[in-house]
Amino acid sequence: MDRLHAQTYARAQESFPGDHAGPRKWLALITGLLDTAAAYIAESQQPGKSAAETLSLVNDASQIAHLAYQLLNLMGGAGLDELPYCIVAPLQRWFDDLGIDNSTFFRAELVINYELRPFDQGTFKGIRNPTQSLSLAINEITWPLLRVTVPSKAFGIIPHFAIVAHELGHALAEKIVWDQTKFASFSTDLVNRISSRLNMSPLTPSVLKKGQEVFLSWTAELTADAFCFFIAGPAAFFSLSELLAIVGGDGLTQTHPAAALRRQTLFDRMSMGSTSFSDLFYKHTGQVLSTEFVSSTIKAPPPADQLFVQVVQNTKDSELAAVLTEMNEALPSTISAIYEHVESFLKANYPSSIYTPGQFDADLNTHLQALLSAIPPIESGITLKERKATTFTCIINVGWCALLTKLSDLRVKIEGPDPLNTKKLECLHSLLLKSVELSEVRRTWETV
Amino acid sequence: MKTNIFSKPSGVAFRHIIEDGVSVLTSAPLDAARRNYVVVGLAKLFGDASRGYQQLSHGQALCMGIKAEDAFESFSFMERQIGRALDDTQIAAATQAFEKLSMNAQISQEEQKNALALLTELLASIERTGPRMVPFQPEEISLSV
Repeated sequence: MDRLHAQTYARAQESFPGDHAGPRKWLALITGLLDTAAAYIAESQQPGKSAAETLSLVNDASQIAHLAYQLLNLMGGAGLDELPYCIVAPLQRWFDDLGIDNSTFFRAELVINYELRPFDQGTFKGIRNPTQSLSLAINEITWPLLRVTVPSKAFGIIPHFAIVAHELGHALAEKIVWDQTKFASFSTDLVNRISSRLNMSPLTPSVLKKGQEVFLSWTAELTADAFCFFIAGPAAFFSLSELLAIVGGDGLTQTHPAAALRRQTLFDRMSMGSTSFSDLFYKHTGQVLSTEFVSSTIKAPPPADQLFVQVVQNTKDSELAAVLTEMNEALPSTISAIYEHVESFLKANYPSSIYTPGQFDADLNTHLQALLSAIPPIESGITLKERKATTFTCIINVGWCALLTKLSDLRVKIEGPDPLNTKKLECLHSLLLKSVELSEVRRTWETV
Repeated sequence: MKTNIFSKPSGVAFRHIIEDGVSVLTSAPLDAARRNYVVVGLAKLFGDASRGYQQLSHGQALCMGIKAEDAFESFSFMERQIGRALDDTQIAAATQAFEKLSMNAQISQEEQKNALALLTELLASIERTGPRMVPFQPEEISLSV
């Protein structure tokens, strides 16, 4: 426990990306747990304790110390070595601007993984006889605390960070009031389909439990995709499609709907409206978007009967197989209702967070050619008075368009051969990182 | 985000709450504030789990969104924690007992016995599985070849 205390203290002396308060709150929680464990040990040594009481206190202290160790491990990758310093402030602003006031910390992992993991205070609040330091640390946190995982520097190409908006969507989804009537016919249809597949009526609680679990997980992913699309615009389509392609296979699991369905949904949204994102992409890049534009390796799941057999073979669970198979067939009918709910929620509460085709057009007009001349998109506006720092959404969208269609046109000096444009990609990444950094500086000037 | 202060208790904290719940049922001494926290929290946890069970067994329908998830998750959490399929009789009885206790009302011997049996089973399950921070979700099964 002393070693853990020392390690926690040493971490608290470090700087964290963006001078973010989140890691320090987490460390205070760990310190509080260790103090509480130490108090248990001290109490176990008080005279008059029975052997059973002593053993119980020491056992509890051991388990709390183990929990502290787990928490220290869970903040791995939150330091400056793993996470670009300048990226945290704009990501946190996304959270702030959308009213997510939960305590948050960001960390990176050396895998292509984006994750939002909530920690409930139930894990800490119920501990008996907490020390003042633990109670204080718990009260200092706005719960649930959110840990946001992004890929570490090696994988963290700036435009990909659009996926953080998907994770943000998971946090926002809980604020939506769902109109159950919009999903009633889907629910009836699905129950009938599963009944028919299993030749079972009524469905048992076991089947319904599996159905409810998969339904909540899948719709949560589609809801988060919808938030990502409305907040990040085309960058959402590019980033999610590419991530799904990298993950590989058909993407269909107990927790996630098929990758092809998610990609198709985003593509359809890209093409909606009188002047769609797809139209504007063509206008500025000369390239026609297709569903497979950045993700030709995504596979569609097999037909229903074949999928059912495949899942039964893999899981030996025909109930789960029926749920997954029929959910995959029926789910497309709910998608428009999910997107309508998300759009209505954002329009009613955070209208300025929606990235519109008009904004995409303006951003590409202002910054795409400039970026190709190695001028990072830092500020927008014609006159000095009108100039404002560019948004993170602008940077990632302009970045994606340059990355996908104009990389060979990037006018930077490259040493040696670069047949696959990998050196130019690095230059583009550096320019975009510089954009994030300098637009943050510009934003600071605006507040002075 | 969820604002329920008692959501997803786990690990040492969950064991402490269950142990203190046993203390309340057996009239062992317990600090008043702690007693209130424990009985209100357990009434909510069991109440949500009971609603989750009711939705599943009588609804023949799937619900969208977080309000359904609160109840459903509590039921699912209880099943994962206890390691067997639950029926509603025991959860409903425990809910009733802790709701009464949260209002400082008396509970019958039968209610005490039922609630105690559920808490004892939960404690045995926690002892068996160890102090996991959060009971694990079912393993994800990738269907990709």
